[in-house]
Amino acid sequence: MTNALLQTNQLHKTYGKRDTAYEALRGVDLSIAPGESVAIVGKSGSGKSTLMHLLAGLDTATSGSVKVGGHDLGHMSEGELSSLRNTKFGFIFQQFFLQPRLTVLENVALPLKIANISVAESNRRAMEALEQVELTDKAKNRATDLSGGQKQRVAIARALVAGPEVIFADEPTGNLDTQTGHTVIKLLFDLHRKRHITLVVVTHDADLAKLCDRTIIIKDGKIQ
Amino acid sequence: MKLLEYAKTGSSNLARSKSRTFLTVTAILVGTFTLAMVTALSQGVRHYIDAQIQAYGQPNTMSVQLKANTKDERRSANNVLEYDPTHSAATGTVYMTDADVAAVKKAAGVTGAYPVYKVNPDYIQAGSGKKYVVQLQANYPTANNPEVTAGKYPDPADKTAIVLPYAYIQTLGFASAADALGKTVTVGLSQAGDKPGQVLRSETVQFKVAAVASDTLHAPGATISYLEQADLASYQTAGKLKAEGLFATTDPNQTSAQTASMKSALDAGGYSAQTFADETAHFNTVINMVQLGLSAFAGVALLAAALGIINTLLMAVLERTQEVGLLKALGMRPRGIFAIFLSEAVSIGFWGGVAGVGLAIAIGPLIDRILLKSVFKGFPGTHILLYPATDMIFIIAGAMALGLLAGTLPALRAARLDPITALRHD
Repeated sequence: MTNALLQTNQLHKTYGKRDTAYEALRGVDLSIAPGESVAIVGKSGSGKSTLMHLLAGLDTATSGSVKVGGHDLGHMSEGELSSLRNTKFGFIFQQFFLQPRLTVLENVALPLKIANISVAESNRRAMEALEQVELTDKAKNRATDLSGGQKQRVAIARALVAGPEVIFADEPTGNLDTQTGHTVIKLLFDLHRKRHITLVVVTHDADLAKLCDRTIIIKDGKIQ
Repeated sequence: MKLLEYAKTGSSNLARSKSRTFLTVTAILVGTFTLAMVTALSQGVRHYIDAQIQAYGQPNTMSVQLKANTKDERRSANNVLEYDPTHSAATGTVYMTDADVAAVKKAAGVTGAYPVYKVNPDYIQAGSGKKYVVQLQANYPTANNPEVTAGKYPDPADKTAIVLPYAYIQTLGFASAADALGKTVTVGLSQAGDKPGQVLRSETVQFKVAAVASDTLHAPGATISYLEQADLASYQTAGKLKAEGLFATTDPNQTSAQTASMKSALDAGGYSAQTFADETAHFNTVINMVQLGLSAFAGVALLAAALGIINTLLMAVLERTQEVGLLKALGMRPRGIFAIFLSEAVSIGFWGGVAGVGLAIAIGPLIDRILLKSVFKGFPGTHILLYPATDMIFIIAGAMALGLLAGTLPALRAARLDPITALRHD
């Protein structure tokens, strides 16, 4: 697959050294096409989170390579990796990670602020992103005033705001009840289809995994 | 993110833990306040001493002595002075002559030279009041006059004018300095004979009070015209005027290099010159040492405060580890994280500096009142402490630099955090 957006080759990741060394990934070969949705499932400790972190350039491989649009992450400087995450990737976490001191709008605009985009432009685009998740009425609220489902929708807006090619979601429904979880998943997949955003989801949730084009099962650091 | 944005973020982060920020800023304040007070006091005392010295001499003046009094080729191998009718006296002191006056005047940069004659008056008296001991000094033509409390400094050629020292106002029975102006005072003097206690002749001279000199620590004598001083000296010595030194005025636009070459020219001619700057330099050295010593205490306080900044920021980094992880995941570069924490440290330094300097300026009037009632009693003017803007800005900038230095370690630690580990941190 030459047109792969994300591609790994014999990816290894070892934590610790010598006696305490622990091999989280033992040679993963994976290719994800643009616009594809992929669920990475596995038991806890299987290495699925590690795989996502390596794909997203949040962590570096012990050996093997990760290529994004043909560019090897291992050859990028920390600055290039930062700007890659800022402009091409969006992140959704189980714990939301909204900044409690900031308003909903400011939370959504954070990636644009980091990218040094003017406040007016950031706010305009953040408002657009909030429209996508139907939370424009909460723009001025503190992030702490929201329910869990609303917080995750804000996180989705934040992941969307910079117009990413890939959204990485780490257990996006892990902290939500089933009902709210469904709403969030529906929203995420609507955006994925409408905007052809590649989706990489790490999850335990079988319902969520079923919605993806492909499911990758990780066991003991390898793809099953 | 732009630099201003980092600074704003850093400053607003300080408000998150108000009491911690307050305590750290207070620690800086102790140091900067001490520095500002030491500076204000040193500057004030420097100015005060300049005023004191002006009672004896003014800028662009100097006193010139003969080097012959210390080192003389006319002395024999056994240090016995050869007799010279024009130069020497029985005491061995070499007096200056008109030739010396002319020689000094010729030196480049010297605008005037006047022989200094000593007058030993018996007393000074106002009306028929009590008589008091007094010293007389001469008022030579100079470019600028010393500060006065009342009146106008008289023309050096005005032989009837006298400038009274502040201490004599109440003593002689005047209600105030202004009250003394224009009043007549009498100075009595006599020519002493060779026998002990012998008085050959005596006279009284009337002067009109033209001005009252500012109060000084060492009350100097009353000042009269240099022409009158010469006349009185001539009376006391029966016309045998003896000048131990010269009072010379110099070009006010002289550069320090020109001053140095003027002094070396005089030195080559056999004269030693002490400029006003030479005399004040002596005092300034002492003040500088005191200032340095006190500043060292402030420095120790600031050093302790710097440790406080480090501690505060390390705690902030720990508290906000997860936030740092998120910012990194969202694409903030390590240098951005570094800048946020560093700007927090600089902000602490800035506010500590502003608060310290502000407090020092705020309590200045109170300290002034205490000083003027005790140590600096009778000082003309309403304040001793001086707060030069450049020095105060320098103190604030210094506190900021201290913050910059202290913040580096915690900011580096934050910048190096691994995003995944940081995000998992609670």
